[in-house]
Amino acid sequence: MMLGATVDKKLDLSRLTDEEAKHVWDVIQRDFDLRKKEDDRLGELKTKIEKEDTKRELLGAETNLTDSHCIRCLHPFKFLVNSKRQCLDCRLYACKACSRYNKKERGWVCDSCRMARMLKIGTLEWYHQNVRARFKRFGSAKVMRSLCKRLNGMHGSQPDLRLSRDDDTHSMPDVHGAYDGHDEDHIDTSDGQRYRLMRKTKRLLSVHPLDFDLDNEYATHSRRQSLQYPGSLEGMTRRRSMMAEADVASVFHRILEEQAGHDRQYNTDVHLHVHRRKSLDRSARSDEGQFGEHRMTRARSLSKIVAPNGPQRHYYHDMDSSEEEEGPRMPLYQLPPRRRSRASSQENVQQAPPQINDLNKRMSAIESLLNRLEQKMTIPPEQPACLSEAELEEKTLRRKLDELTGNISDKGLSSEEEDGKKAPVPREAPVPRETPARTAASRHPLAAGPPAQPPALSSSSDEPPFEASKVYATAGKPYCSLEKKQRAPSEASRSHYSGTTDSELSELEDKVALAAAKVHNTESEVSDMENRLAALSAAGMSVEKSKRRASGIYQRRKASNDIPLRQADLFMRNSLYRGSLTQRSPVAKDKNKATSAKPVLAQGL
Amino acid sequence: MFCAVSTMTDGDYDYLIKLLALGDSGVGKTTFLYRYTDNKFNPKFITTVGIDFREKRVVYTATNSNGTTGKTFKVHLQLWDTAGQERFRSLTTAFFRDAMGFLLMFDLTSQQSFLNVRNWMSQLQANAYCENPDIVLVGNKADLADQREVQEKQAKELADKYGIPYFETSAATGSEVDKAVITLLDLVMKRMEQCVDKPAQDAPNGDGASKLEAPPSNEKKEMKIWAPSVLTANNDKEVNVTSSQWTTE
Repeated sequence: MMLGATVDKKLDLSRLTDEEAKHVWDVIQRDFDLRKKEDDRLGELKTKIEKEDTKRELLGAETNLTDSHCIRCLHPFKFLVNSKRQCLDCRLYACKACSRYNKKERGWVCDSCRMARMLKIGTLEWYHQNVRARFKRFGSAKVMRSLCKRLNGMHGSQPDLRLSRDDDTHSMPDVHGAYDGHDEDHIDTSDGQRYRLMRKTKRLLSVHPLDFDLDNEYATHSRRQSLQYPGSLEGMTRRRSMMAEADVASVFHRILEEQAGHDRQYNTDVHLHVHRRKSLDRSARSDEGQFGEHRMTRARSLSKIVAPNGPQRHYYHDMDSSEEEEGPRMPLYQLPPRRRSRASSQENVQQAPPQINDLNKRMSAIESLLNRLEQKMTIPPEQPACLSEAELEEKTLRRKLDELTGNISDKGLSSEEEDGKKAPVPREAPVPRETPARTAASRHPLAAGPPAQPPALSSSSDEPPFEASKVYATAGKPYCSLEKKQRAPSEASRSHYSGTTDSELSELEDKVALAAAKVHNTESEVSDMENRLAALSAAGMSVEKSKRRASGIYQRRKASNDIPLRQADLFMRNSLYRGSLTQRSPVAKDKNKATSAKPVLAQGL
Repeated sequence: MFCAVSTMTDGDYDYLIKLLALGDSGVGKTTFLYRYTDNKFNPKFITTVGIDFREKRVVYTATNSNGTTGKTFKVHLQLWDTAGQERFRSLTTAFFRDAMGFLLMFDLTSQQSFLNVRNWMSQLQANAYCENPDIVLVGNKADLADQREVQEKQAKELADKYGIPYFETSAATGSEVDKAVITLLDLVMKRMEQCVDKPAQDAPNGDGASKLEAPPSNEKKEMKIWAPSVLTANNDKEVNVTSSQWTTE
């Protein structure tokens, strides 16, 4: 007898044999892999769009330029030879190669707007909306949950499942090792290593803390959360409760809590799935968040520009070897053309003559740097504009800091520990080093942990951006002195937009890279200072004043570089930063929740 | 209109579309999908344990309203294979929501499997992502002409009633297998287009360039295999069949 439409929606897997359950489990694993891949793919597309948006934001304001040059390849328009087309979406002008004719709408859409359209469709938001409206969770998740229950009910069969999973190619041996039973211990040690490494390499920090790859960042977050709660089990539970905001995650959360007592091995397995599951379910929002933060970080564009050049490359190479570890995630500019054409929308770019392509690449690299420099120039007036003043202040601050740290270094350490290990955490956050565990995780898609964990999920997860903001805001002072120098190359490069030659471009790039190197030096010094400041504040010293100033600057800068599309999102994030400065503001936490509860994709795109 | 392409290891595709095959046990869902993805036939009957899926990369070329070819997309297909057996039912129906289109299959040599189509339809209505998802009715084992129990006319009528396309396929010979899947994909893609809010259409702007030159012709010209008829509306009220009459196994 088969039940019909009114079939009870409860999933009864009790009649499955262990082997059958294992098979189903494996299939679901494969499905999760595919979902993860899809997540990554869409993330890539988003990055591309972000990049393009940045360019537009800068160039869009200059009407004379956009009227005479293609917004995308910056090729000058010429009558009949290279005529211009206005994009239906952005109303900017693009050349034939950089846009496509849309027959239905009887107009041209430039490639970047086409990418944006594709993303909107590509996420299949219409479908997911429907699923969300009808069901609590998607099918695989539902079955996974049910399987967990079933296994929870009969402990005898668990080793069975785990054993069989070990020879399964879709499982994640590294993670088994890493998380098996004592994952908190593991985390603690790796943290220590990381921290030590960080201390050593702090001065060499050349990459913006926000610039390292997503997985890394989120791995950091989750680890940090766990650190806040001494006692491994408690930590895990608390961590889980933070994730519980997502509807599906909450289900897993419950399961996990049910299991927490008796079945730790299995528990950790499922735990991973919670991460992944969550990332899938909320990919839209989290992606939004991630890329919002990743947009136009200074170091990214610097490293992009510097890398292809000989001598400068070594300079940066020394400073940031982690860039290499991220092999496949190398900046877009360096990718071979085939890889860059992830989306079919790039087809046209490929069809353009290689020279133009190359120029285009260089151009956009320079542009993003220009953008950077512009931001620096628009630093609020309250910022001391003259070099000597800034230097003086820095020196005095530094002296004070030295004294203070000398006096209370011991005390500071102990109080850090009393604070539930909160204090050391921000210090480590800015360094994009991969822990061994992290490296392993990145190579195993399954082990990737919480790749798309929304940054706003927990109260602690907004600390790295905050920390970063402080560092950069303070670093802004010395920048002022560099700005004048940098202005020269930047203006030069702008005047060359129309007919730049290869050699001119590379000259410019060299100049820019030099300037960047200087900026970097100052930056790392200041970040060192900031770290000390953080230590001090953890020790109870009041550094509120400087913090507050820093935050103001950061917010303004952030606001100036954000594209209108993201204003709403930006607003939310800024309020988060504001909240996180004091760390105790309950309002900030509320907003926090509000952000993560909002389907950002729908709102942003 | 479509053609299968090789590489499916990378994330180099435009859409991930999930389809699902359902129907009675033994109608040939697994062999059908195996034929589609690997172009092979396995005559052995191995009952599917609950759930499985296969993947395939295809190139989809959208057709415009005037019949001309439009944009080309790379589509990664995830093809869910479900167990037809009753004992897996609650498991398999849970996966219905994970698919955007459905291959509702029956066995042309089994009248019972055909009768059960309506019950599968109601299962779909209850468990798919929406009440009227895109479905293609597939009568499989068309090669076994001498054992045929379901006439084409019968099946076609049922399909028309639901407003869905119908195909008689043979996983053994491969006949119509591709067509059935591609038709379903086309329905899903069409729905996708409809569901995306197009930016408000402005009056044609003053830029005369678009009139001077022909639209880019860099899309791949492919053989048109199947042009979908008007099939998108399937709000047939008669679909609401009470489940009590569904007795199997």
